[in-house]
Amino acid sequence: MTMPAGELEAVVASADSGDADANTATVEGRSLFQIAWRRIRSSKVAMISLGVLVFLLLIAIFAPVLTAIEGQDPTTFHNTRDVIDSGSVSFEPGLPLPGFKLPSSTHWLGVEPQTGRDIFARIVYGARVSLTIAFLATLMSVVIGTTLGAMAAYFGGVVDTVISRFMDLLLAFPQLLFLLTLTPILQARLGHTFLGKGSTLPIASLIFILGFFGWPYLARIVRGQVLSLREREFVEAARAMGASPRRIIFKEIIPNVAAVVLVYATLTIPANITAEAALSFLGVGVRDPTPSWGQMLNQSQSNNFYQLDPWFMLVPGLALLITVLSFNLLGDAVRDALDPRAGRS
Amino acid sequence: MSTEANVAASEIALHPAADDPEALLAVNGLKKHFAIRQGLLIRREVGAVKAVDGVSFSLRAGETMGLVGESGCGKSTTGRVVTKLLDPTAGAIIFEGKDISGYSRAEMLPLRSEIQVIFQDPYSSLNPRHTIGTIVGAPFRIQKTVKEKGIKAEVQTLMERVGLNPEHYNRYPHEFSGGQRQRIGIARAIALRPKLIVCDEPVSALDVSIQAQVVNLLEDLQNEFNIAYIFVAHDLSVVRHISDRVAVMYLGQMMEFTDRDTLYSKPLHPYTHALMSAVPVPDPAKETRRDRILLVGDLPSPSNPPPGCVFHTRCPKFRERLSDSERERCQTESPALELKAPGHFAQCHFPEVRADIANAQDAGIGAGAVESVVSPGGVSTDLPR
Repeated sequence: MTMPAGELEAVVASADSGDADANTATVEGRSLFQIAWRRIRSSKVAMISLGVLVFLLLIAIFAPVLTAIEGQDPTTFHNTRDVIDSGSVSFEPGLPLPGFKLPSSTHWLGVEPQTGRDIFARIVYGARVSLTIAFLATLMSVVIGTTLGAMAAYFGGVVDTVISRFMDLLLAFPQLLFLLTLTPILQARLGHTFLGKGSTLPIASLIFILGFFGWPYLARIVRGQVLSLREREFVEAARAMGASPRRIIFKEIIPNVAAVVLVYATLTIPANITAEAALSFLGVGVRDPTPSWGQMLNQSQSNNFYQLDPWFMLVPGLALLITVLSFNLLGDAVRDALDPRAGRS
Repeated sequence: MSTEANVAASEIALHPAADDPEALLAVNGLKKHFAIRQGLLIRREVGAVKAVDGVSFSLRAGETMGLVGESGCGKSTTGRVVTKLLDPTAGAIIFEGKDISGYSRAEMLPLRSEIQVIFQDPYSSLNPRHTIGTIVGAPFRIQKTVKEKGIKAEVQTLMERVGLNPEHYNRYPHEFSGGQRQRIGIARAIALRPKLIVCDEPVSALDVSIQAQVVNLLEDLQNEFNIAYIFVAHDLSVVRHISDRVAVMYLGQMMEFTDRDTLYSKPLHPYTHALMSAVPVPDPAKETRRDRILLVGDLPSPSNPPPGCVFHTRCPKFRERLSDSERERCQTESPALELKAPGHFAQCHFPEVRADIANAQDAGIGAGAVESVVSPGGVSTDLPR
C-alpha cells in the first residue's frame, strides 16, 4: 500500500508555499540573531544607546588622536594660575581654585585642581582604561561561567557537585570586602610575576579579580539552561552520531544559551565599569598617574576638592552615568529582542 | 491467514532471540533499570524503575520490527538501549555477531554509522541554532567519512532524496513544517547509510496526512538501502502497515512477538486483544456494534511491578473468565515468553486466539490507505503488501 505519489507531492508543495520566498533562487535562513538584530534596529532607545556606546568606543580607541588635536596629554602638570585667567582672587600656586573651572580652548574640560592636569585628556584615556577592564573582565567571566556552567549541567554527578559547590563558595564571599583586601595583595605579591609591571599591573589585576568573581552568576544561569537542553532530542541525535562530549557542549548546546549569555554580558559590562570605578574610588584600583573614571572621582573627593571644584567630580561622574545607562538600556533591548515570547518583527 | 505468512513465521527460531544466523540484531534478556536514590548526603539506592525488564527479539537486515505498547511500557527505552544511548543493566545486544552491550563510547564510534535513530519530536530533535546544512552534514563531520568540501553536495543529494528542496540548505529548522522537519531528521539518520534505524515514534507527532508520506518515505528508503527498522509506535495501524514482525510490550516486558500477519489475525495475548480493540474502526456502523475490551485500573508502577504475570492486575480474562486456581497461577508464577504457535511467542499462561478482535481491525492509517479487503461479515482476508 502506498499513497499516490501525486498526492504526496501536492502536500509537500502546499507545505512549501506557506513561505512566500520558498521558491526564490537564493534562500537564506534567518537565524535568531538576525531576527533579534531587526528588532533592535526598530527600537529607538536601543539604537541611541548603541550609538552612544560606539561613540564612546571610538573615543577610547582614538584617545591619543583626540588629545593630540587638543594639544594636551593626561599626565603633564600645569600651573593652575596659568590656566585660569582670573585676576580677581589671588592664589597660592598648587592650591585648588575655588568655583567651576569652565572649559577653555586650551583645556576643553578644564584642569584638575592642584596638579592642573587636563581633564579632557584624562577622561578619554580613562575611557580606555575603564572600558578595557570592563570588557576583558566580562569576557573572562563569560568564558569561565559558560564553560563551567555547561559542563556542570551536562556531566552532572561529581563534576556538577564540585563546580556547584565552588560556585556557592565564591558567591558566599562578601564581595566588596574581598575585592578590597584581595586587590592590593594580588598586586603586591603575585602581580609582578603573573600580571605584568608598571601601569598594566593594577589594570590586569582588576580584570582578573572582577572576572574571577563574576563568573558564578552566569554559570548558574547557564547550568539551569543546559539542564533542560541536554534532555532535548538533538543532543541525543548528536550522541547517536558518535559526537564527543566536547562537541556536544560547544557545538550543540552552547549556541542555544548564547542569547542568555549575550544578555548577561551586556548587563555585566556596566556592572564591571561601576565596580572598577568603585574600587578605584576606594583606592585599591587604578592608581595615579593612570587615569580612570573611578580614580578621577577618588581624587575629586580626596582633600574635599569637590566642595571647591564640583566640575572636577561632575565630568567623570557624567561619563560614568552615560556609559552605564547606555549599556543597561542596550542590555534591556537585547533581552527583549531575544525573547521568543515577544512579537515577531 | 495465508500459509505463506505461517511459513515465514516458522522461520523465526524457537526463542525470539536465539541464534538466527541471518539476524542483523539479536537482543536477549535486555534489562534497563533506573536506580531510585534517596538520602541527603549519602544517596542510597532504594529501588529501581524497571523500564525494560527482560526483552528479547531478533531482526534481519532490511526487516521492520514494530514495537507497540501504551505509554510508559518501555518501548522507547528499549530503542534507546539498543542504540546505546542508554547503557543496558543486563542482557545482550548482538549486532552483526558482536555483543555491543558493554561497548564504551569509543568502541561504539565506528558502529554509530551503522545504527541510527529517528526521533519522535521533530521540534526537539533538530538544533534550532543550526542550519539544515549543518544538521544533515553533522554525521559526515563527526564520522569524517566525507571531506569538508564534499559535504554540501552530499547533504543536498540527501535533502533531495527525502523530498526537501536542496536550496533550503541555509535555512533554520523553525522555518519548516513538522513533516519537513521529520524529513530532515530522516535525512540525517540515513546520511551514513546505516543498517539499522531505531524509529522512536517517528510519526506520532505528525498530522495523519503527513504520517502517510513519512511512512512511505521510510519504506522507500528501506527498499533502496536495505535498512532494518525498529519502529516504536503506539499506533497499531501504522505498525501494521510498516512492520514485518511486531512485538507488544507491557510494563517493560514483552507480551507477544510474532510476524505481522499472525499478530493481527490471531492475537494470543489478552493485552494484545485489548490494544487492538482500542483502535477505532473507520466504519461507523461497525464501530458502534463492536465490543471493546476496556482495561480498568492504572498502569502499575514499573518500580514495583505486580508479582506473577505483570498484566494480571488489569487482565480482562483474569478478571472475568478464569477459575480461582488459574488465577492463582497468574498471581504467583510469572509466565515466560514461549512459543505458543509456530513462530508465535506469547507471555501468557492462558493464551487464546481471538479472531473476532482481529477481524474488527482493518483500519489502516486512513481507511483509503490500506488495501485491505473486508468481507460483508466484517471478516478480513489477507493483506497483500
